[in-house]
Amino acid sequence: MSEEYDVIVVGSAFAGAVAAKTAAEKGLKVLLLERSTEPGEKIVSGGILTHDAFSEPGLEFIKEAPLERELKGVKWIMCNENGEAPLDLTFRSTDGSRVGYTIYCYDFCKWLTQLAVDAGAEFRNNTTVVDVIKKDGSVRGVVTEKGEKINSKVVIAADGGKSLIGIKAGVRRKLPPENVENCVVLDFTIPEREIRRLGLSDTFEVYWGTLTPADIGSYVWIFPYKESFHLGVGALVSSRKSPTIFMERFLHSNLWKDRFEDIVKFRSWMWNTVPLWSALDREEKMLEETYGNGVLIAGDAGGFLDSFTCAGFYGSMVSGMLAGETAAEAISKDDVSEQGLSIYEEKYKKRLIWRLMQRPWRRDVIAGIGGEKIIQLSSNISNYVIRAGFDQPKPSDLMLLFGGFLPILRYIGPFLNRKLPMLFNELMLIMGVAK
Amino acid sequence: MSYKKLEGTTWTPGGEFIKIDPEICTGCKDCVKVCPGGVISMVNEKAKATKYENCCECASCWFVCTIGAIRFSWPKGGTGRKYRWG
Repeated sequence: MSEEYDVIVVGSAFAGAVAAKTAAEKGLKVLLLERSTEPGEKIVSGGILTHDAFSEPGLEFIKEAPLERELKGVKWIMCNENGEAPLDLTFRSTDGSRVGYTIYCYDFCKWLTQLAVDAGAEFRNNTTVVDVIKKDGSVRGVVTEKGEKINSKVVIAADGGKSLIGIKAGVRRKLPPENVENCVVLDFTIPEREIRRLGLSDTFEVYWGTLTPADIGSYVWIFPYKESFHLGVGALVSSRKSPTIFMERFLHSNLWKDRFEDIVKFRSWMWNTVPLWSALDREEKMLEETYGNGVLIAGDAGGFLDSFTCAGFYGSMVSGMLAGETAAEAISKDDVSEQGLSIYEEKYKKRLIWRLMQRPWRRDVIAGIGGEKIIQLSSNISNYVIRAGFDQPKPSDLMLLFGGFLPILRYIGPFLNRKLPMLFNELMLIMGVAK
Repeated sequence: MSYKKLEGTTWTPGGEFIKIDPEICTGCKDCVKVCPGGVISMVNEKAKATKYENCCECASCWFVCTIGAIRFSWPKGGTGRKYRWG
């Protein structure tokens, strides 16, 4: 008979490591399982650990985390299908309290896992969980690939967007292709002075336009790190297109060649899928619950991410923490049934993550009718400016172009940024990097 | 630029973890199209995962196959794709 644990956590990344840490701190006997050798080395990230995480009660400890570069603004670059981009808009945080930090998953998750171990959790790597043990309709442990059965009172599935264990537990289902985006990400090193010269020292870049057609539901982005950056682009699986098509297109455009090609060193090519929307939309009935008898689902597996940006670091950590708390409370009351674990839902609905999960889906915003128009408009403007042969539109030119709305923004953007911090905040809201 | 060996991306074999049932597969090639690594190829007009060395375990093939011909699991513990700067 295998040893019994209070809690088994499947997956030692942002959600799982925090869940294990929290449960161990509450005095539970915790086993943290990771399918890879080092935590975080299976994860592809595109993004930012938003400031939301730093102000979340209970997550204060992440101030000590290995952070890369603080970002305070975003540059929207409007480009056409050839990757020509004469227009851009930069929006910068006026009080320095917005956006967040880039992080590397390997460094961060290794650090998080050490915290869980220091709190008393037992960590086991190189262990793939293939199934759950079920008794009387309740999850009572896990089965590893070697056939080992390990019993526990509660299983926390923190196994990422595919959540094979959440599915085996019967709590959630596989997402449809419309709700999955495959993101290809390249990592490059670049000297710090070049980051500054390119205006990337505290700003990330987003490339809008027909370079990335609306049906793929995504855009090209660049997130700067200390002396490196991530370049990425996604494509909805339902588009039946590989995101590498658009990555190649970008790499062949002057946007890449003129600014980056000669000064960077290529060191990693990777891709992975992200769930694109909140898993908790009951009306959609895609994924009914985030908990069941003897099981809790945290992180990407439970849909705890910003529905628009897919930013998931914060949601994963807060849901992991709440799953750990829930397990401790339910075990102390000796009720790990679905009813006993339902306090999980009450807990996360009180947190900011719940609001982020209610935001409009990126799929509908970009791949929808409105998105197509915006992307086309952005491209039209770029083409117009290229044909007209000017960099900065003159007032007389503006009248020719959709009433001049977007070029005017470029003219008055810096002024508005200074005078109206609200504008920045609104944009950050749309971009999903602020409260 | 194409897929190649890089210091930040490593791979070790971890078994055949993408199983495609030829009885269910209709040969629509959707899984071939969505796969960034060209892992899946057509054998006798049915999809088959062959180039595991290019697989990043994204499961796009599994997601796109809504008729359930593809069974996706994980490679053996400690194997498969790893990233230093993910």
